[in-house]
Amino acid sequence: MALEVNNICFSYPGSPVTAVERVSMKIEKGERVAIIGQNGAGKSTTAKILNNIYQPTGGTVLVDGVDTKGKTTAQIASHVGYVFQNPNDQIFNDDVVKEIEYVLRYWKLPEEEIVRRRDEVLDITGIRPFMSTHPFDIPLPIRKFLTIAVVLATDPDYVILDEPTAGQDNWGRKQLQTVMEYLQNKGKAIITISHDMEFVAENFERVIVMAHKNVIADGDRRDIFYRQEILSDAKVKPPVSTHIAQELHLERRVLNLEELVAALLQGDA
Amino acid sequence: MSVCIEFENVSYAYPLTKKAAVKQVSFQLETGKCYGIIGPNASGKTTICNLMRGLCPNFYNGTLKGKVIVCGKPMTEWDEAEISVRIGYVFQDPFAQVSGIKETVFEEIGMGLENLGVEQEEMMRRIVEIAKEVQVDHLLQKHPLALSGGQCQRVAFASVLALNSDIIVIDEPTSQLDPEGTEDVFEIISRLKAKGKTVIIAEHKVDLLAEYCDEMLVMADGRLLAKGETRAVLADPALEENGVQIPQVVQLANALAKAGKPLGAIPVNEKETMELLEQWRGGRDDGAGSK
Amino acid sequence: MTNQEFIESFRKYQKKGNWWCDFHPLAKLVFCLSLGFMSMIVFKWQVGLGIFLLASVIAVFTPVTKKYFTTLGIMFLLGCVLTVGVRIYVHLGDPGPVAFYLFGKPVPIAAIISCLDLIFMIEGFLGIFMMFFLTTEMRDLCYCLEQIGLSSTATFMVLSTFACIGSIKEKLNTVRESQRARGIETEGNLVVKVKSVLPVLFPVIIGSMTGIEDKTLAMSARAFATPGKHSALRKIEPARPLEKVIAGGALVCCIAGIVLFKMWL
Repeated sequence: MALEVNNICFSYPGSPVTAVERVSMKIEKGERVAIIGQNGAGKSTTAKILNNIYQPTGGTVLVDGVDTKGKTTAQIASHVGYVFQNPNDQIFNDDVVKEIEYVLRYWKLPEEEIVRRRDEVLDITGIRPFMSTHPFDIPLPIRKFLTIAVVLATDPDYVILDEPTAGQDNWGRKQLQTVMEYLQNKGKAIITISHDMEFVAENFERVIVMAHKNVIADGDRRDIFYRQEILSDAKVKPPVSTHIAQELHLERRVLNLEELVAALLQGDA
Repeated sequence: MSVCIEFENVSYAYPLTKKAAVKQVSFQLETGKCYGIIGPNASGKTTICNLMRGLCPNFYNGTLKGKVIVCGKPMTEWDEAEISVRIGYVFQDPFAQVSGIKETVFEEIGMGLENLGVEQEEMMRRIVEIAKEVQVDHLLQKHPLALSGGQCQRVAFASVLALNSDIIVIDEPTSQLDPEGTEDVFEIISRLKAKGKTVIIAEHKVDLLAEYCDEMLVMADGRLLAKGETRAVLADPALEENGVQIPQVVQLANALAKAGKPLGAIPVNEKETMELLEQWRGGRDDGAGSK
Repeated sequence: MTNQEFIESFRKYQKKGNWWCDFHPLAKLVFCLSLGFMSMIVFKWQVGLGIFLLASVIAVFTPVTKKYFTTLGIMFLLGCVLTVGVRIYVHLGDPGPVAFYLFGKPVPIAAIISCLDLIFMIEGFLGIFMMFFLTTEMRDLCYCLEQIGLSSTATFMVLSTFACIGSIKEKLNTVRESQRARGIETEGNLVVKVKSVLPVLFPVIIGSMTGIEDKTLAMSARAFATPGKHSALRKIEPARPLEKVIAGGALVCCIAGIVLFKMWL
């Protein structure tokens, strides 16, 4: 069971330049993968192809072995969910509950199933206190959790989170952890596009680096963040802790603050 | 140093809300300094910015208690047109700040000057000058709606800076930008600082804020938790207890201190951290050598 | 164009290089309004046709020829089918000189004339106005209106409204993309499309309304509230005597036409 793209190409309608060129990647169910790279490297385009929002102009997309060619985005949506970067692009109902239940009702699920799913995602995303608030009166960072709830309710096997930590404070980051643990426990794959390297290093074992409209590296986070030629090519910086460790030429490869502190103190012994 | 903005026991609640967004806040800001406002979401950062500019309560209504004084004059006595020139305000969403009615960046930047009735020659001179300063001179002929988020935010800065305000209030200017756009914004902020403007920024990216700001105001649940020199404020353990995000390098210093091996000082950027760490390791080596 | 050239271009009057496109916006407005209303009030096919032909001739000499004729062509066809159908059905079998027989019933000449009147009234009116909107930039018109005393708030609102229509379309596309991503079909036959658009149309429009608050704030940060006359970066050449004469002529023509046809004929 995997989400797979082979040699996909894409250019936006009316644009002479391609947005991605012969990109290939395979994401297994249950994996946590982060796609990193500069703006314009093709991250969002690739992600939108994974979700069939865009149909590639070349190459194939396989969802659990089934070619998405000729399928509509809506048909793929129950397998691959996409949480947009800007929640305002995704919300259109005037009520939180209606927003979450919208697709479930459209799919004509049984009433008890709708209620069960709705209650579950309200708790997981922590937006229950905002249940009776108009979606556009909810603060923007929390509104993002509403769009996460909407996607979780459709129960996809692969969940794409576009810049989930943007504008989030400590509360939001913790809530995001809860969401990801929940998905992990259900055996779902989580794919994120992020500029937040602390978040990536902390939560995603596998990191895919994109630059020049293509994948330039794909591997374990501890490897990737120590391959400086790749990072500088993609114009991304490693997490602060990793960078400090690299500057100090620490032997141990560190990804976060705890590891850095441990490495520093161990050197002390 | 002269005081340019003063809050005297200010409490404010938005209309139709029971809970005050800002509670009994008092502080003074000095001319020419760069201030960072940090704190969790909904802790009152944006409201503080709105209060400084008089948008609370003049635009949003709601109930205000206490006094906001700008340049020695209470907010209630300021005229909306006057204050809009005295205090420049850059907002969070880069795209929402574009007027939508101008077809080139050149004209977009000029809009504020048109509103002030500035003569054409003078207007053109100032647009070109500002555009160079915030590095949008290569975008002058572009349509404002065809810009990337970072470019758009820079144009928003240019449009506001064209009015030549002494005080610039900036509300989460980078929350919707990528790292490149974020760096651009902070680059502009450091230029403003160099020009002697008073800058007030509410921001999430504490790592960058710590690097640029002279002083910090920390908000938590509508109250002013701490205010003072950046280093001193960030070292305050109350910040972490109240869920306020603090810079990675400060967290590092705190963790080392907790382990009984303090770094000696609180660093505010990576460079300082490296220097302190080198010393820290050197001290450790010396210690090991003398044993 | 280099930046220097671009900036220099603001020192001169804004020109498109086409005599009609560069026609003074206000004079053009007077010209078109006069003829448009004349077509509407006189309601005679000869007058409508004349104005329509005049608009078409002007359009031929501008860069918007193609757009003008395709849009007008579609309207003409729709208008014809509808008006001719309805009128002829209503007048079927009326007394008077007969033009021809349809399904064995007489179609009177008067009915045909009345059809022509309606068609060319609409065509004249639409033609002249379309030609106006296709060849005039709203911001130029607003600038001129501001010059003769319209408040800058009013012109800003007019311009924003036009800009808003474009943004609604864009927003609608994004929301539809997100609908698809959520598992709602938006592609397919007309029923599927309409069904997917209807529930989001209203919230999207409301959403654009809330954007107005942000815009108001952003404009207040640009000193929009400053009293006194605003200056302008773009300059429009004042109306030349010939342009004034043409506009005035159209106005006189309109009044004369209305008096002539309504009072005497």
